Amino acid sequence: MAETMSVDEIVGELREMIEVSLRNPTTLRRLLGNSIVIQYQFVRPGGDVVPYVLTVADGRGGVEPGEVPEQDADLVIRTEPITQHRITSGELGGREAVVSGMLDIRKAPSMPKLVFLRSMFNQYKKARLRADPPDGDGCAVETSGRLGRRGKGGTE
Amino acid sequence: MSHDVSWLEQYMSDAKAGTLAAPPSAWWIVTRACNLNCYYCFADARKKDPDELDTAEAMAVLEDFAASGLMFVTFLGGEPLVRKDIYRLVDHSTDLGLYTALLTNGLNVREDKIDRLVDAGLEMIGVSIDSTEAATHDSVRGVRGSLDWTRRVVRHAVRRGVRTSVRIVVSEDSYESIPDLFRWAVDEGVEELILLPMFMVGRAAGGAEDRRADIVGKRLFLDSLRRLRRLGEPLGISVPVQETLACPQGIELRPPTDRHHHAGHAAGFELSSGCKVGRFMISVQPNGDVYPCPFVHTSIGNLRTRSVTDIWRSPLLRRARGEDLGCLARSMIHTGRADVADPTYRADAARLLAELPAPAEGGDRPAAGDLPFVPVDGLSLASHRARGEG
Ligand SMILES: C[S@@+](CC[C@H](N)C(=O)[O-])C[C@H]1O[C@@H](n2cnc3c(N)ncnc32)[C@H](O)[C@@H]1O
Ligand code: SF4
Repeated sequence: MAETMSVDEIVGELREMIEVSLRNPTTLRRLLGNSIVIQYQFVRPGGDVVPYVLTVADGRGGVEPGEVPEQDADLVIRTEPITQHRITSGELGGREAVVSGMLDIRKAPSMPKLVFLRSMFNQYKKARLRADPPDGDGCAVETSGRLGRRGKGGTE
Repeated sequence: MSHDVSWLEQYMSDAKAGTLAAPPSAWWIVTRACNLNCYYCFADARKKDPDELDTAEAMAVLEDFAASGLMFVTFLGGEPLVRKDIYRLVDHSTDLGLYTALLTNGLNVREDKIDRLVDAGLEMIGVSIDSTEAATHDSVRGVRGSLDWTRRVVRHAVRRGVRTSVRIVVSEDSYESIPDLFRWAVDEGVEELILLPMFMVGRAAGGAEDRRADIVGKRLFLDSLRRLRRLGEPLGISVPVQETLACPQGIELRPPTDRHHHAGHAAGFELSSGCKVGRFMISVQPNGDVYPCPFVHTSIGNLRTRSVTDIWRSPLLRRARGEDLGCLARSMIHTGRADVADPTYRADAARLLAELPAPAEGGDRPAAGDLPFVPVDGLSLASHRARGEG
């Protein structure tokens, strides 16, 4: 289990998540009438905040440094990179992260947007599980071959 | 870091106030086919209904759910694993972002089936159990060996790391075992226990004493929660108790000191107390008919022809939101109508029992034994057998 993560690493992971989920026809189909903008405020160990914007629309997505006006964001999240990583990898549930105070939702999304966001996280989680099952003994679904589990604090 | 849960609390309080555009959760009987034969089955599960939604229709319903903002889907039955396409449905549901759970009786559920469900993204598995004794569990469920399967499924699911819940229906058969089942579940590392009162609907209904059985069953349920609370206290487990309603209750089995304690679920159980009809859930039948709750058997629309958000505006649900009517399942059991108040809500059980016609004397009524209550027709396998239905 990773214990620390840099902002660059989590941004890389979020980009990978977008890429993986957009390969899924179910997400792509839903994207046709949908979009999502997340304002991230990543908190570094010293306490300084680094803003990034995750955008998915028109079948494309990205994560870039910077800020959007609050009214343009569907969701504003303040968190440490490691917490986001634990959510992305399925180690920590989103609700758990909120209740435990690790994930600070500064602007809440509508429920349909939240479900859509979960669909991207779920696909990433499933793809990683398929690539690297817990017992290392293979599993019922074909692996994507690209994704692997990260070591402590590292990227692939 | 600030600890702001106001968003979650706001969502739950909107749900409680009945102001959400869609239900937070759906309990979906995906098939009525079942490989067991529990005497009290509310779904009266036996074999597949001829008009069951097929794979494509079921997937379309899931898409409607996701677009509406409905968040939690629980597949049940019957036995959902009897459906060959269940893995596809779970996969599609999680692809759509829905938090997806499945309830199983465990029979013939080998480890690889659980693995396939987890690979498909399943986030919670619920397993039903009636006793720590195979003789009792197996006869309640109608198939020898079923308790062993239940235990095996629980163990593997916990090992696989999927959130696991154990579900116990309070009956005269399970009552004595409940403290042992609680301890067993804690020892196995199960995260959640759901205690259910037995509702006199489906196969449980139809006895001469359904109303009496309901009142006594409600008392057994409330009493069982109090017993579990006493058991949980020294372990740091907080068991919510109910005083007047008797609606199925979730209990987070890992104490807050456990690093796997799920504060989110514990808060969810607390914040969703009270009747869930029109506020927190709908129940879906195999053919797409929507019921207000799994135990309130009256249709408020069909998902083949209407969207979930449209059905969520039904007059019955609006009525339930407008007033605290108690448990609508009990309104049905006692009056035959879902749109009136539950006569047992906040009422004194002894007075209600005294008002009912005296129970038939003698006959095949099961012996009281050491039970702290007088057995009632309907709440045990023995009384079902005596009716000729076992
Ligand atoms: C109908 S079963 C279907 C899923 C699966 N076959 C199983 O046994 O868990 C769903 C849940 O409802 C519970 N149940 C069945 N009949 C009930 C009743 N009359 N009142 C309350 N709960 C009931 C079962 O014990 C089980 O936990
Ligand atoms: S009708 Fe309401 S109180 Fe009764 S079981 Fe259903 S949700 Fe619970």
